[in-house]
Amino acid sequence: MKAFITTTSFGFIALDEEFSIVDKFLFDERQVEFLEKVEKRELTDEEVELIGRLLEDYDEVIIETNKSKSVYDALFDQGNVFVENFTGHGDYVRANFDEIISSLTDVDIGKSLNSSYNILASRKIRESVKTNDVMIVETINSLDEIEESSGKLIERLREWCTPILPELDKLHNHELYSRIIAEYTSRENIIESNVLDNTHVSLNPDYSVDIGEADLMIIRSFAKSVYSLYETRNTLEEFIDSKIREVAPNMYDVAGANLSAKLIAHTNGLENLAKLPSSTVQIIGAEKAIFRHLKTGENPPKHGLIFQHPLIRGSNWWVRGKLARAVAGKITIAARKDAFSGDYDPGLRVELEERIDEIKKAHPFPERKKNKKDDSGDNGRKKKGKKERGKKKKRNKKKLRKGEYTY
Amino acid sequence: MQVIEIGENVYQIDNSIATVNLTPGIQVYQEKLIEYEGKELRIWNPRRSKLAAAIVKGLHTFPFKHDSKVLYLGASAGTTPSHISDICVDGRVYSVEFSPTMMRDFLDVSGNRENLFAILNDATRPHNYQHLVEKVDVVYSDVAQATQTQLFLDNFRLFGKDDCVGILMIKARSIDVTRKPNDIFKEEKKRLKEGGLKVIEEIKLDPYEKDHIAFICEKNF
Repeated sequence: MKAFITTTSFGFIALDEEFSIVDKFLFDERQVEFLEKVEKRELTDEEVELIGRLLEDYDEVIIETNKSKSVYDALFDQGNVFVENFTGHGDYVRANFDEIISSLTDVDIGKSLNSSYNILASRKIRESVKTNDVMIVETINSLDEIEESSGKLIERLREWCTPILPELDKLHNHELYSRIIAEYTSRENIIESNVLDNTHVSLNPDYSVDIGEADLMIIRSFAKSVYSLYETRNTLEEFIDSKIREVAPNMYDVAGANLSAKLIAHTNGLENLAKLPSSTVQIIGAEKAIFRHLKTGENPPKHGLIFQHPLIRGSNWWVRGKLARAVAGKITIAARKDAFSGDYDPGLRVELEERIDEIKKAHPFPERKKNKKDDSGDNGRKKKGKKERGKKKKRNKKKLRKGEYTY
Repeated sequence: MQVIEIGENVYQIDNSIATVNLTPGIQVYQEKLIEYEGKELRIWNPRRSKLAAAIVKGLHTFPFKHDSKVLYLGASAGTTPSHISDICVDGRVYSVEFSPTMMRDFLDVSGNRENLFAILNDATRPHNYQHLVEKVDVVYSDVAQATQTQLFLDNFRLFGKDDCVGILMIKARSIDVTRKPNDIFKEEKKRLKEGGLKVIEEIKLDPYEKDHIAFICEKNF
């Protein structure tokens, strides 16, 4: 004789071969607690007790669950407990859910499910938030925004100050420029303070302009906010540096703080990045180009965000594609180490540099392109590309924003 | 204002459709509320909801009854589920959604509606939430994923009653951006047939949704 156990949202229900209920365990008030345990595939004492009771009367107990068999084997070693992830008896319970549940308990099924599922879902949401990822993603995004807007604002400030302090235009450090204006503003103050001593800029008294105190104040207040943006940028950069070093030490080694953060931000989390193949990592950030390649058969992009890696950007153009592949491969390994094992491996960077030297040595000069007529091994896609190249190109001008593409 | 009842709890008001608000006074997505014969009607925007788009485009089979049990895959922020919960007043709407961010919005809706059940789980793995769901009359799937037909079939087989009606919204662009939508639709229809389903109706959703199609299917005996 066999007995079948089905897990429902109200409890474990045991049926015999004739589909009648022989035993049960109801969750009652502890519904949320038990559902959480089922979700996490934990074996509860109550379920074990139920199986124990059934084994007294039945030869075999078949359990419908997605827990693995080994969980049960540890407790019941006679080989009479079986695990299935789908049974006809479970199907029967789900088909006659209302009759079965209302015969066992008199709670309002809808109401109780609604409230406990809501609690269950909100708990899962809370668990799903990964603070480290959120911090990295938001910081690097803010950094991007700050860089964009501070560029605009410093341009405005320079334009504003040029009539009064034309010599300062030669000062190329934006941060220093905004600091000087914010702190000293007037020509006399700057000369007195000696801030320009170590620079190649000096003030010429001939250019002196008449300007009122109120006018200087308004320039100063604007300059102050611009300078504070630069200060914020510096703190954010420091933060990213330390955060990546802590969360992803391997990636920090291989890719550097900024690039690592950008890659993590682009994929919305370290774990997502670690699950991507290295060929995808290589072209993250070049979505527009890769989709154009897929649509028109044009050459695929060699690198995306990864181009910012100093080893790629600083190399000759004819090896960049090869280097991008090597770097992407190592970044992928590093990301996986960081996300899943957490061990720090200083060898990664060394291996990468060795490999890069190898590639550079093997290709000291650009290779001449092969003669088109000699190319008999062309595949279909390439041919299509050439055909397309002759025609007028129709480019997909729509810019893909974040969230509009999937990997 | 001309009001016609076109289905259980569904009305047509001039050129738009609406459902009877289950929670009077509460809006879900800033939709218009209209007072009619002591009931409050919520305008159902076909640009926000693919089911509404299908109805506007002439859906014949409307399987949602006042006591229907529904499995809704891809509940998102709860726009369409809220209307289904308006219709299935005495029924149950099991709503599966994978993204915690969207689920947070959905919980605001399901908190007010007793027939909406939130399940934060992956619709591609129905066995993981099999203990939370019973057999249903309607399986509705609106998951923009490359494997959307397969996951719809898996769920349909596991949770569909014998007379269950399935509604599958296919977004051609999320199956393959590079191919023609019509070819993809044909292929997915074939896949449904191979999976043991019969397509009884197909509705293209443009101009409301580009490159989308709605397949209405049932078990093939």
